[in-house]
Amino acid sequence: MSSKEKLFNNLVEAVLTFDEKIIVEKTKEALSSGVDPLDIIEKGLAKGLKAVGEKYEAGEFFLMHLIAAAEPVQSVIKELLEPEIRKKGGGRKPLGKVVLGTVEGDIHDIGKNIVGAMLTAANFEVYDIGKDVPAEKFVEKAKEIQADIIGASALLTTTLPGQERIIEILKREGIRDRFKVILGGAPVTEEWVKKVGGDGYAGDAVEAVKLVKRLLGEGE
Amino acid sequence: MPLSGIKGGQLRFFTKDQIYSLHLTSLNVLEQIGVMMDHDAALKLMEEAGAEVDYKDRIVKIPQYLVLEALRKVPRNITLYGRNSENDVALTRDMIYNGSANNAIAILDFNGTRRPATFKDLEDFTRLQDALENIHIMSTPITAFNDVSPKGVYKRCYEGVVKNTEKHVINQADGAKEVRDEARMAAAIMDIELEEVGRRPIFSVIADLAPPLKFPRTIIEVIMECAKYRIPILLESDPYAGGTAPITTAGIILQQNAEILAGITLTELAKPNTPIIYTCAPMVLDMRLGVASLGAPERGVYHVATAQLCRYYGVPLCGVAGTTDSKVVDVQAGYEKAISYLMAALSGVNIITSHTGTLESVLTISYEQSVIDNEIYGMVFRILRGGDISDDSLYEAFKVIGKVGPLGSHYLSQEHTRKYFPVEEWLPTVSDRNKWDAWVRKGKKTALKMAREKAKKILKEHRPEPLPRETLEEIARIAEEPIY
Repeated sequence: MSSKEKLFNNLVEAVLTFDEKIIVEKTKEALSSGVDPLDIIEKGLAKGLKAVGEKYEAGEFFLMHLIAAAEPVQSVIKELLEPEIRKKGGGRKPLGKVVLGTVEGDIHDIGKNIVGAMLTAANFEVYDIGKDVPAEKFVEKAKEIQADIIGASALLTTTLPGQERIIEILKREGIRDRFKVILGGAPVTEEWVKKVGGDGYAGDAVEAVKLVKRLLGEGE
Repeated sequence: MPLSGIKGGQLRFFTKDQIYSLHLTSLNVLEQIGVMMDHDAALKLMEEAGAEVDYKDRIVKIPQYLVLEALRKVPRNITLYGRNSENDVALTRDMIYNGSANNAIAILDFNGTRRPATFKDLEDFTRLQDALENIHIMSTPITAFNDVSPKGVYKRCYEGVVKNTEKHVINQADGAKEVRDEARMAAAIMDIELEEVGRRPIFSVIADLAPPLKFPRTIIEVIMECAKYRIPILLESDPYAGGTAPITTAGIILQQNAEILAGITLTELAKPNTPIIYTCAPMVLDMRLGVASLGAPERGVYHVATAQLCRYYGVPLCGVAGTTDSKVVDVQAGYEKAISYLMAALSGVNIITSHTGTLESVLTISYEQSVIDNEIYGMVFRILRGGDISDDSLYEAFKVIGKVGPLGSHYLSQEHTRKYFPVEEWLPTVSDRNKWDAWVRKGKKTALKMAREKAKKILKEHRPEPLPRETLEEIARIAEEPIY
């Protein structure tokens, strides 16, 4: 095994410890050895997440393992690796860019956070804009980062109109076809998504990842 | 004559010491970790009372003495009033009452198709469940419609429900204005001034905080407004074990208790003696799917622990049981609902919000399941009634055994049998007890078929006491005002 391979191996192993400290340490090790930050993601961290995902599919791991692996990787990519990538003037080649948030008036965000972590684990670039977010903010962020997907979550039936408003704004600005809009949350149904003109709906996080892949033509 | 509940609470899993430790640790959570309250006036109120407030993060750390003082101010016995006194419900220690469905968004029709709900469905389901003898309190069976906007939907729901029941109604509200409008509607129905609504409140309101440890702005508005009019508040925490709360029983009950104690402290500071019902809806996060389960067996354990805590505090408890994750009226719905309901009743949950008729973790509602659930409640109530083993009952039994004796063949002709049959034997209304041949001869009726017939009959025949025309016009007018 070359020293580079060993470093990648360490990264995969680090992800499987679910320990942010160890993941940060191994990432820094690889960076200081001159490994390309894009490779650190592709051949190390993302590979580790894929291993976690496979164990989840096999029933060996559960949701908490997926999230416990994805969250620290998410923050390491954001805080350590993306600045390095930008310094080199490069860019990541994710499967797609997703803006995620919980709509205005709603502070329930566990569902949105789970979907975010799972999408990150599936090699999507996720921009989480938080909870209680006005519709305008979703659109602004999507335009700013040239997102492929806008995902809006709502748990309360009374806040559902916030999802509709996002689509209305996109139509008003004449950019509806630029983004796929997916909606989620307990009160959301296929009928609701059809009614407000969304592009898709998923009942749980695993389905959400499949939906995003399908919408972007990535297949299953 | 008010409705009489059934004595429950026969089940204890935990010692008094364990419950006391749970209480003390909850006080530590509030004092050292605190809660988030997204409301300026509430933060100020808490700070003036002696809490430590961080205005930037909106975190309130509450000293123990404030919580204990607030607990002393919570009324011990609360009556929830109906439109007439026959439907009043007195919440006293260990008495069990049953609530109706709440919050469904879709209908499972008689032909088995699932469809979005319309406002007419809300009225139909209220009427159907109003007729079921084991439902004492009404909630809002459905809260999302394809023909009514979600803005101001809760008072529209109140209008739809109150027309179709004389029972007490548990409402929801999206902020202060909607609480006030619902109070105006109640005043119109009772033909009293708005200020007098709290003397005999015919509705109460759920204030549903957001675990972990967060009080959203609108919920605090609801709490403050209810306190102003002395409308009973159902302070609700609905954490997911492993998701929005620790995964252990100790952890989820500890966090839930801290959350509700913080709510009690705020409410009693806003207005001492405001009636509060400690309301819990702990769920389990399914670690394979990432969805919250309402049919999970762990919830039975949570109800035992929470009921023991509430007994220690002396405050009434409302819980959510009799629920299922099944999508259709099937075997899974039956066993999940029955086990969960029995556990809550044996725990001593005073108001069991049973989400009557609902499936799919309370999202879908079914006519047949409503009637089947009523049967489950009847069976559980029979179990709660228990049996009378006393010197008198033993002596009577001894006498009748002596009368029949080893030479006799049966007890059917004994007066003892006729006397005690009505007390002892519970008769089913949808369960079938025929043997095979008789069952075939009578049309192979399953519980589902029986329930379908009964539901159709109720929908055709049951008409609750209507409200006068001018009252209807007035509440419709208030219901249609904007809430912002």
